[in-house]
Amino acid sequence: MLVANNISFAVSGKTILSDVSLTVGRGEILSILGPNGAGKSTLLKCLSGFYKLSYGSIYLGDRLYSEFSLRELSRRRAVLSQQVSIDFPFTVFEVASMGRLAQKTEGLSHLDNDIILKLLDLTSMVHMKDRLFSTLSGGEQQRVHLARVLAQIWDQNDGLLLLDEPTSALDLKHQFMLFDICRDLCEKKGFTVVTVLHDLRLAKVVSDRTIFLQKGLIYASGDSTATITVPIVSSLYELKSEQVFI
Amino acid sequence: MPIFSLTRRQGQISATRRAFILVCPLLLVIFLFSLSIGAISIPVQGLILGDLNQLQQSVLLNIRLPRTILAMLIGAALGISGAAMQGLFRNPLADPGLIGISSGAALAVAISIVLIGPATGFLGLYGLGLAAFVGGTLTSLVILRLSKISGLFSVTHMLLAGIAINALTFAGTGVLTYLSDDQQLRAFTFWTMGSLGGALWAQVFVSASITVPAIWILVLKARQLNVLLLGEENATYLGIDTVRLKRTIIVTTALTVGAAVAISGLIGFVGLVVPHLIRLLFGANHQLLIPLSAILGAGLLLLADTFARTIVSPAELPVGVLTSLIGGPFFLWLLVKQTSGKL
Repeated sequence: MLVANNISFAVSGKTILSDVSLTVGRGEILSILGPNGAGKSTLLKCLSGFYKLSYGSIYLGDRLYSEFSLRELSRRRAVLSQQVSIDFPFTVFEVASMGRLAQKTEGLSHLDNDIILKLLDLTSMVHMKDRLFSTLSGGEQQRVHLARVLAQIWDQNDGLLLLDEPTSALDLKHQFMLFDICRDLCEKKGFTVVTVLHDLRLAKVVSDRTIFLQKGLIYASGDSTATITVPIVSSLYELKSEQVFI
Repeated sequence: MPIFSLTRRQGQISATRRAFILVCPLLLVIFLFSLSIGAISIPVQGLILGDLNQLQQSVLLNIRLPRTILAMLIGAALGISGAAMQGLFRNPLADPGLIGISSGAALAVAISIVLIGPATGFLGLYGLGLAAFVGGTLTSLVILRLSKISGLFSVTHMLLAGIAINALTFAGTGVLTYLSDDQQLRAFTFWTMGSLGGALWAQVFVSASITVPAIWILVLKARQLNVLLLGEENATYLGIDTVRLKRTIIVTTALTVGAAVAISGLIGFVGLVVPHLIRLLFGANHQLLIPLSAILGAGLLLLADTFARTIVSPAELPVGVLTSLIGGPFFLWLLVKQTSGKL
């Protein structure tokens, strides 16, 4: 469970988020939506603990974020950020295994090995495991990163998964693959998933609850089906209602 | 990327073993070769069987062996510092020489030579090492700060910053050259060309006492360096204290480069060429890259130094000139490759 209380974030005097509160329960998928520059990625970076809040507090389970060490936090929550390119010749397997190796002092165990292969299989990348990462397409790279991020918190029972525009490079089939995996993790392992999305129709189908952001403030929030509606979307995105298809 | 590594075999252990099986004997062969040739040649079989006459023994113990070991230590130091810098800057073109760390260290050494006097004995060597370390660290920090201001570690910014820093330190050494007397000038000029001439056991011990722990620290940090290539943000998500990691890498590298520069002067391109060769052959995993860069760096510099002291014998070529002669064209080739596609 993830709870944010009245969080604000400002950088060099410019307020990017103000007074955002949200609660995501165990087994829930929350989508963060809004126009460009509304503060979606910033909110995600606050929720990941990467940005220091100007005001407010965030609880993961029953503990404050500030009480976790970097290492403890890395075992509980994983973040899939936008496009991470690597200029060095790593194989797909090596990139995926970074999710498990970072916290260990010894090498990969057989168990780790199996988990990585299983996750590469889950993201349908296992047939390319020996390919060089830099030779993959954007969508394929994104799927390898997904496997890496899942490997990081695979042992957890109430992990937190944060996704920043995870579908931007994925084709339709793999967009649904991604959220099938998320739904599965929510149901079987009690994960909490928060994702930034642009595709409103996808958000309506795959997420339980939705937050609309506008200029750093919450514009609307609630159950996805009740929140992603023509009136809200048309007024937030400044569109005529006949231009909105959801 | 080369075609042959498009689908590199996964088997982690077999790849590691293959790499070491290839590189270690190479170093051994170069080592024996280097011990054997010179003004007084020492037969290899005599070396192995311990069957040497008085003169050969004394040449081996007092001249050949310290120089050979020193060349390997300096080569290893340059190799690992190149590998670590490239990992830290997430940029395959970072090299202590190109981005100005070596010349920063060199300026500090020049200042101490001209103002304090040439180094003698352990204390003097450590003193020069310390000066080089301070110079190297300062320039690394400046470059790191500059690349942070520009937002990312872009090749252009880093190389331009390197040009600026190299120009500044060149001006500094120019002033010192003007101020120095004839003897200082000569010592200083030869030193900047890079040479392992006149190697003594004292230098070997000083160099070893810094280089060996540095290799050990960097090998320990290898896995974190891999993750750092995902970017600082993602490394943080994976539980790595990036500020501490960067500080450790910078201090270790500046210390290693400092020790190398203080003893042997400016030897360019080893730090750039060696990690590249390893990546082309065995991939980018730092757990492999760092120890192999140490071994190959040692072998390459030893080979270069062996040629430097034999091809114009009884005179001696500065080894830095030789490595630059090979490294320059290699670097141009890398630049062309990078502009025509991803490395």
